[in-house]
Amino acid sequence: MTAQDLVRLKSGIPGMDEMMEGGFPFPSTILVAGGAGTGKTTMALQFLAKGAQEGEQGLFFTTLSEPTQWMLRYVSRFGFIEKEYFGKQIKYIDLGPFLTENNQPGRILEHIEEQIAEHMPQRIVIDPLTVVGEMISGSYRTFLYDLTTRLKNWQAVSLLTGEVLPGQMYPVELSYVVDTLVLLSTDLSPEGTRRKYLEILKMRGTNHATGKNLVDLSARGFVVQVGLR
Amino acid sequence: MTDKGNAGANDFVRIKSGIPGLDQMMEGGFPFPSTILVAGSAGTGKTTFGLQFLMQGARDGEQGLYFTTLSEPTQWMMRFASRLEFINKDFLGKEVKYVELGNYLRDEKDPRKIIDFMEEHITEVMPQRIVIDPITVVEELIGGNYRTFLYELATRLKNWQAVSVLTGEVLPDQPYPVQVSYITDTVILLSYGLSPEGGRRKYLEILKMRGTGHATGRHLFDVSRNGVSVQAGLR
Amino acid sequence: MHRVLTIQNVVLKLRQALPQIQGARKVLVTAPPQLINHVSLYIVCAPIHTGAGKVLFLSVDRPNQSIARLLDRHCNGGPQVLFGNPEMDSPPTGDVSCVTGLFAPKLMVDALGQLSDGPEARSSMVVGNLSALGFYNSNDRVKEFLHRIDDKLREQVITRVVLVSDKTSGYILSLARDFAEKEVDLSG
Repeated sequence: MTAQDLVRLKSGIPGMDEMMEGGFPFPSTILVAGGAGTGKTTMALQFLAKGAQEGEQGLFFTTLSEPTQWMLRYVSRFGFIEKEYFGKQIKYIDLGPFLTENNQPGRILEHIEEQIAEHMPQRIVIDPLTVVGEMISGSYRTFLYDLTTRLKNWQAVSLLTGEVLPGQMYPVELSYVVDTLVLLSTDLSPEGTRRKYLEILKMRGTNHATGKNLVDLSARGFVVQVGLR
Repeated sequence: MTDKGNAGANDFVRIKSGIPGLDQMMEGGFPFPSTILVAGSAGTGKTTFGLQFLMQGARDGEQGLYFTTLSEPTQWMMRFASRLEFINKDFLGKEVKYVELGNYLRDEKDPRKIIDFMEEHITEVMPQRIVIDPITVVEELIGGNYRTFLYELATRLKNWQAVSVLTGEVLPDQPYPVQVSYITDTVILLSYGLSPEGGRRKYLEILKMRGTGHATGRHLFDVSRNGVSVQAGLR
Repeated sequence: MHRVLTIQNVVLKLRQALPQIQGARKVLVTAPPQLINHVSLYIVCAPIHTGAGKVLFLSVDRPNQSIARLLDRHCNGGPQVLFGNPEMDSPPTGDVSCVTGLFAPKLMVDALGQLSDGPEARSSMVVGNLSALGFYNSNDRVKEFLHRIDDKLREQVITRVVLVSDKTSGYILSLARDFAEKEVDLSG
């Protein structure tokens, strides 16, 4: 008896859907983890842009309190995203004020859920998630646990980004609560150029490609070089 | 309860693990009763291992009980589990029962009360196979009482007359959760490495197994929607 | 360039199709999978259930809290919504009674059937996300589920049923098509 297919949403990252039976399971939670400059925010935006193209609603929660102007400027550098999407198919929500004035985890989670109930998005991004640790009172791990639990009570593909500390492969406090774990990494080639990689370390319910794949990160956005390592 | 198969060299009753290639590494199966720690980092196949183990039991006429320490709704877990080709949906909710521990652990920090809660379900369901997945989350949620929890669990496990599989989430460079290993008879480690072509290979190793002659060293371990399996003889 | 189906497009089509839905006893509404929630809720809250005492919403795998919040937010403070589960002793009564469940769809129908006590309180039923049943139940169980709904219709415990489904499960889709008298296709 073959298993019933999961509903999947296209990632928006060329080369990636083929690595995961056609797309991210819908609904599911994803952690995109990587060090600085590995392309996490770009990937997250590309993911939301794809959703907008497909007629889906997206929510972008930022924790770093970057003003909308900054975000629009960042986004307009990339060809893949239309400025017109912002405010409509992609709603930009700044969690910064919530985190600084009101650091009660319960209230932050409540606010996030209110936004989800209001807009009924198919795609959600929280970027970056790991900085929240310093900003809330109480246990960070419990907050993450609660956040992922709540996200799993809604029907969306939630993409969370996490900073990886040197010497760490991925943030262990999130790895077991998410359904999908994507690692972004870099190294220096023998010629001295910086190479970037994407690896799907885990994806529930999916036969996914394993191992590191070279990625190209440019003004066109994030592209997986299929078949190259 | 059906015939449990051949008694091993030490006259243990053994039950089939449900993992192809594994039983021959351990004199025919897991001793009954006993506890096993299956430790590994993200994506090494721990949850699939646990489900496969329970499905084998269901096919053999045994009752299984799956405790999750994540507080995800049953449907979230089951939807993904249904993708594993060895899952028989008719067993779900019956021969394989599912209990969410996560919500309980959020509010209850007293180790004895937690184990009492688990025991209520065990008494009601009377399983021959139990999975607690992952046990390492308990430490995060109850903090300082974790040690007491493990010792209490060790004592009660002996009374439960079941084969219990505890899964442990570890970072890739960590060997296994040492505290948990003190209370289990068997420790199995799932790990990964890079193949020469740059792909990810997964491995299974039996680190210890009380009272059983077992194969040692890393063996190639396959993880997919078809389930997990040990590639016998390959390293 | 493929047509993009936004929720606005789909709701427009749905609004136009409401008279057809209201007029039939057994309706199948097919929608894109990303919009199943929206479509189900819209149908539950739409003013098409006159003539029935209440709406019984059988939400296959959507958690109660999120459904409650969505109905509260998007149904203009309309129907009073109460929840229960198939093992409950005294089922909730309200304008919209909602049950979520996985492994025992037949039981869910029975539980909902109990909510209608007497001809004055005859109910309209909406099943949200029918295809999701396939994750948790064998084909036989899904078949029995639809037979049970037929029983309730015959007993006049429920007056009308609307099944909302996507097209991801070919088998469930064909069962639903055999069951329904009318199909409204919103999947473009």
